[in-house]
This record gives sequence, C-alpha cells and structure tokens, in this order.
Amino acid sequence: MLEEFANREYEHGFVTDVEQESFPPGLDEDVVRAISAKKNEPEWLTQWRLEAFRHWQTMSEPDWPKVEYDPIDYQAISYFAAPKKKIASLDEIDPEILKTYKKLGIPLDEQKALAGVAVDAVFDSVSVATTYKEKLADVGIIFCSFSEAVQDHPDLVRKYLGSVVPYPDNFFAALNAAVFSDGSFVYIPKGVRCPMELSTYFRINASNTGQFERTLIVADEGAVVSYLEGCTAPQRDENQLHAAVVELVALDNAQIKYSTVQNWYPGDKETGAGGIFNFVTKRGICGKNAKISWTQVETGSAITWKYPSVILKGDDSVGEFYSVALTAGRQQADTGTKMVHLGKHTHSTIISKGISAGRGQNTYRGLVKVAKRAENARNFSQCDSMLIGSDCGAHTFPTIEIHNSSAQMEHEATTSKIGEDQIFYCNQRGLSTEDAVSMIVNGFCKEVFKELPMEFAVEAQKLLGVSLEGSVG
Amino acid sequence: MGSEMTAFQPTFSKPAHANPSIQALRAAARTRFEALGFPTRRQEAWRFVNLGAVITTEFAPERPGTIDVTPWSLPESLTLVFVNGRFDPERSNLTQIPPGMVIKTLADALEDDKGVAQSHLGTSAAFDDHPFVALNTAQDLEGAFIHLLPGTDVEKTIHILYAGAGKNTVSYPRTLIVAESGARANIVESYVSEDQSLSCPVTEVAVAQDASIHHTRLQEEHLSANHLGSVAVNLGSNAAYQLSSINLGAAVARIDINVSLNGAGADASLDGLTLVGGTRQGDHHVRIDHKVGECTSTQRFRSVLDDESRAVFTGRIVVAEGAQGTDANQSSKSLVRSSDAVAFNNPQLEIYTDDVRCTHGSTVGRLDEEALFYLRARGIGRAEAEGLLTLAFAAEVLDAIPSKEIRTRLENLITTRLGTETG
Repeated sequence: MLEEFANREYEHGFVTDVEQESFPPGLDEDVVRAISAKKNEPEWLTQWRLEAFRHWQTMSEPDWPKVEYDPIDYQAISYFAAPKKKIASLDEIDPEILKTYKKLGIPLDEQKALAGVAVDAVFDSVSVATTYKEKLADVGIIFCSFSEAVQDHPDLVRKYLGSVVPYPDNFFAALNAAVFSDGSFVYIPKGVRCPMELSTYFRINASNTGQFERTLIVADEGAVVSYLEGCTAPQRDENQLHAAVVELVALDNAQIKYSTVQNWYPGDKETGAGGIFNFVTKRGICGKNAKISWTQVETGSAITWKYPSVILKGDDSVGEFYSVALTAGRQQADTGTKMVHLGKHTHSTIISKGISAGRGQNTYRGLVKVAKRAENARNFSQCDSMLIGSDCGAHTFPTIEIHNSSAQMEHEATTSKIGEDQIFYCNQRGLSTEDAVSMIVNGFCKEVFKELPMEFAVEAQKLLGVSLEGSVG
Repeated sequence: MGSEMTAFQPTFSKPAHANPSIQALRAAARTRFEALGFPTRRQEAWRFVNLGAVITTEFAPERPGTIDVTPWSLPESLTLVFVNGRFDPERSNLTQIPPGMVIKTLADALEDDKGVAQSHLGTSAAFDDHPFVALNTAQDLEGAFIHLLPGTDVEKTIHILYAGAGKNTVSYPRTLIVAESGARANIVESYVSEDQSLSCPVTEVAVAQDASIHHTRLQEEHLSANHLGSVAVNLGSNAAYQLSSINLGAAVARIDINVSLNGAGADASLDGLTLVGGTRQGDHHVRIDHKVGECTSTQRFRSVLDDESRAVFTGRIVVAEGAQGTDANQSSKSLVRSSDAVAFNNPQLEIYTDDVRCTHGSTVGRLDEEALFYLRARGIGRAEAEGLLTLAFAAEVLDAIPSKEIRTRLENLITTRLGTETG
C-alpha cells in the first residue's frame, strides 16, 4: 500500500494545450520595456521596472539558504506568456482553460453558486477572469488583477508598490520588480470588513516560462480582510522558477490574514528533477494596533525559499506566523519568518511545524528583532520538527536580536522522531500504521491548521496525507 | 588577507621543533591563516562581534614579563603558570605529581620520544575555517601538556594559568589534554592579564573511552584586553566531558567551543556564563557534532548584560546521518539589565537522522519585577535585590564548578562587579 502511494503520479500534473503568446527566452532592458509596453503601463512604472532591472544586474544570487540546486540560467527563461484570446466575460474563456480549472477543482463557472469565494484566477501571466467584483465594489473594495489596478487605480498602486518590499531588497525581489507579469491587487477602504474570503489560484503553465507574481494588499484604517492563496502546477521536466512578491499594508487598526496552501510539483521522487523553484518574498507592515497573520502550508515545490515577515511598526501591533512545511522525496525547504518589532507593546507569535520524510531537507530560519524603541515587545516562538525515516534532515536556525531590555522573548524548538509508542498505541487499537501516522502528523500540525479557513484546512489535511503516504515505513 | 587597514600584523618565528611533522603542521597553519585573513562581519560566524579593536592595535609578542598571579592561584593544586606565553617555573607548582600522570610544557612534550603529544596535536582543533586557530597553530605551540595514563584518577585540581603582562602584547597559548581510557581529572584553565593585550589560545582535549574530564575555563582578562579562544574536544565511547566556561573579562571575548562525540555513549555537558558591561562584547560560539548514535549532550549558557554591552550565543547541534538515539539539549538565557545592551541568540539544530531527541530553548528578558518587589518588601534595597536575583540566575552555571574555592571567589567577584557596574 505504501509503495502504491509512493509511486503515485502527481495528481495535478498535466499540461493545458492553449496557444501561448510568449517572448523568446532572455532578459535585457528591451524585454523589461516590452513587458511594460504589452501591459500598457504608465511611464513611472516602466522606469521603476528598469531601475529594478539595473539593480538586479548588480546583485548576486543568495547562497546562504540551506538548499542545493543547479545554477539557474536567467537568460534561458521566457519572461512573458499570455493566453492569446482577450477575455470579456466568463463565457468567452477558452474551454481548455476552464477544463484545467475543473481538474484542479476550481469550478470557475459555478463559483457564484459556491460558498461566496471570489476567485481571481491567474493562468500563466495574465488574469483570466475576475468575478464577484461587482459585489465587492458595492462596499468599495477593489479586488482585481495587478494590471487592471495599474490602469484603473494608478495612484493607489504607485503609493504602495514597493513600499514594503522595495526592489533592492533581495535578488529575487529585484528580479520580480523588473519582470513581474501580473498578480492580484486588493484595497479595502476605511472601516470595511471584507464580506467574503478573497482567493486566488496561481498556476504555472507553458513550458519554460517563469512566473513572477506580484500581489499587493492594502487594508486601510480599521479594515479587515482574509486572503487565500493556493497553488498547483503541472508536471514538467525542466525546473520552473517562481519568484513572487507579496506586499501587505495594514494601516492603523486594520487586520490582514493571508493563508497559503502550496502544492506545486515537487519534482521526481528519486532525482528531484522537474520540480518548481519557489523563491518568494512576502512581507507585511503594520500600523498602530494593526494585525497581520500569515498561515502557510507548504507541501510542494522542489525548493522552497520563503520567509513571510511582519514589520511591527505601529505601537500595539501584532504579527503572527503559522506554518506547516513538509518535505518528502528530494524536496528542500528553507522557510521561516522575520518579526521586526519597531513599535511599543508589539506582540508576535511564531508557530512552525516542519515534517521531513524520505530524503527531504527541512530548514526553519527565522529572525526576531526587537529594536531599541520597542518597549515591552513580546515574542513567543515554537519550532517543532518531526522526522520520518533516517535519510531526511531537519534544521533550525533562529536568530534573536534584542536591543531593548524590556523585551520578553521565548524560543523553543524540538526535533524528534515520530513517536513509536504513539504508533504502537494506535496499532493496539486496530488502526493501521498508515492511519496512525496520518493522525499523529495531523495532530502535530493542528495548531497551524486551526488558523486556516475551513475549506483550506480540509485541503491541507488531505494534501499532507497524500504527500506523506509512501514515506512511512 | 581578508581585511585592509590592519595594524596588527602577526609575526611568525622559525619552527624551533626538530620534528618535521610539527614543522609541516605549523607551515600549513600559517598558509591557511594568510589565506583566511582576519574575519569580517560579513562572515556569518563573526557577524555579531566587532573585532575592530583587535585588528587596529599593534600587538607584538613580548617576553618575559612579570605579573602577580596570586589573586588567581589555587594553593592546593598542581599549577603550571605561563607569562606572555612562556613557562614560568617559579610560579608553577609541580610537586607531588601523582603516578600515571604527565604534566609538563607542550614544547617539552613535543620533544620527547613517546609521541603522545605529537600524535594528538591538531587532531581536535581544525584550522581550515577558523583564522585564529590557524594563527595559534602557526606559532610556537607553547603551553601546557597533560597526559593521563589509563585508569589514572587525579584527585588534586590541575591548574593552568596563562597570564598576559604588559600593554599591547600578544600571546598564543596552546594546551593539550590527553585522557586515556578510564582516567579522571579536574582541570582549571585561567586566562588573566593586566592591560590591553591579546590572547589567542587554543585548548585541545582528547577524552578516550570511559574517561572523564571536568574542565573549568576562566576568562578573567583585563577589561580592556582581547581574548579570542578556542576549545576543541574529541570524545570516545562512554567518555564524559564537562565544561564550565566563565567569561568575565576582556573588552572583546570570543570563545569557540567545538565538541565532537565520536563514540557511542559519550556525554558532553557544556555550561557557559558571560558577564558583560560597559561597551564590552562576549561571544560563546558552540558546535556539538553527534557523529555516532547513542550520545548525549547538554548546553546551558547564560549571559548577563549591563550598560551598552553585547552578548552573543551561537550554538549549533549537528546530528550526523546514522547517529540514531541522539539526545541533545540546549538552553540559552540572557538577562538584559540595561536598555542599551544587545543580546543575540542563535540556537541552531542541524539534524540528518530521525531517531533523535533534540531541543533548544532560548529566552531574553529582564529581572522579574515581582521577584524584586518580594525582596524589597522584606527590606532589601533595590541594588542588593537585583544583585541577589542576578547571582541566582548565574548560579545554575556556577554551581556546576567542582572547586568550591573558585565558586566562592566568582560569587564574590560577580556580586562586586554587579554592584559597581550598575551603581
């Protein structure tokens, strides 16, 4: 039975056959200009992209993460791909794409009947359709693709773009700033509580195309929003690079909850070939009394390099990070968070659960920094790792920098093997080892799952089960 | 060389040892040091410590020197005293050496024909990626050599005292401790100085099967001195090694501790206490390698920070592939008593196998207001109450020191220091 699961093909591994309009591989200033022109962008944005590109050229790829991969040839990647047909309404969507979404379980054409989730589906680089817009627009919420936002709300975009993750921030953020294709834009006006969970499904398609998403969420004073992000990608032989940037701005008293379930193709079980490289920069900034909460379930990708962070700038602001990262097969994950306490009485919580199975390497890397002016900052961190099988690895590299003596911070980490006695206990009561492991692992991750919105929690548990099966012996 | 603008240019004497293998080791170390250069803050391992004062001062070896070492000496012990890196027979006490034990200078040991010193030298302390270990190895290799023959149980405390005399002097003490199977000893290493000096000591310890060593390492250099020390330990099966590293002096004190558990059943227990005030920096940089299974290790590191000081703890536990049944625990706590002090804690776990139990815990905070209130409600002044609570915080580490004499002296010292430094 274990063998069966181990050898199971990637469920979502298929390729949609849609004619793609792509740029030839390669990256120079002309490509950056062309991407910008294609999207009919204003001059300031083109210039911003170019500045980012020029800065990117001066940077070198970071080598500090504990991951190994063959060097990426940035000139061998095509930086733009769009479905050819222009879309005016849902009915005009290419039936091929609709079918793809159905296979992925996103019933785009039925979604109005569904649980009130508005979906901004991204197919490769251009948003295919955005629904529920009218309903959201009634309360003044802007939820659209990034390119639309650039056309329709240039002032908002200009004000906040790069305000949390400036382009010189890091190598991949600079690359993204230069060539970002599309993404989602959300603006919640003052005092508005978003009436539904916002969600977007990312999808990488078209061979040889990197995808450079850019998401910007602004919650104005007192606004509340919950945003869901989920990813799957078709099976490919060549590594696919994904360098996304997510910026969250929570102004005074605002709250943003950002949840991710990531199950991209992890690559071949034996060789690791073909998996997605997921190099993501995610960061949020909190105003006074604001709250940003990151919840992530990372089960896919060959390599994950991702540190959702919160800058607690305003007094009394709160940052949270809940993470489950699972590495099986040949997967490598170097993930964690940064909590930067700048304001007084700021609180942060970090709960990270790492599960390593097969030959997976799982690293938690985090920073808790309390600045000098951050009186009475409080942090609690807990990083637990579970090891399944003797060939995997779990590593923890937290950094704690305290510049204020009134800070109270606690960090705990444990690493242990899945409990033999727990499995034995379950076996005794008639549960198979497989079910026992699934139960134990789900229990191990419960603290994080309970932070996820309902439908995501269900998907996450399933994902974990599927990803683990075959690794347990 | 890694950094420009260095006033400190280490000099290297011609190898005095006749032995070609020692000569080769020194030459290799020198080449390595010249390739590595002084570390910069861009290097992860040296990111938190500012070596500016070390690199911009013109240190030079100077000998002989004189310094009164009586405040630090232990009357009842076997004592080896080195001043500015040179053996001082007058201040040493080597009477009544128990049978089964060799205690002499490393230089003498390397000359003798038994080859114990030679075969162990450089086996624990790797200099490939540590510039100051390379620098030390490239020098004269002067220091203490202690060899415990199988089954030797030394009751007396063994005290090795390295003293730095004079200003802007540099010394490179080298200690080699070899405990053969079943041997036991309690070894105290002291580093003291009277002015702005630099010491780059390296201590190598090899503990064979069933042997047990307690190592108290006291860094009590002058508050303007610089101390860049390393301790490297190899443990055989069922060997036990206990370290109490007390880091009290020096403007910049960096202590690297590398312990390798090479035999099943080995146990390492490392304690550290850093006490910093003013603008001083203290850095404990620990790495424990669980190379084989069924070993245990414990780390307890505490730091107390006053004024604008900085304390760093980096502790890495590495569990190798196949080291099943490893049990490793680590706890680091910082007591920050001033709002201008900075504490850095970097507990790290690197685990390549599944049947392990590894934990680390780290806290940073200030004194508990309620505990202070409790004491003050009983008529104890604030300063005294703070001193008491701080001493209690440090006591966890101090209590593990076997010598009562040292414990009492340190407790008094810490109480006074805390009193004078916090006003």
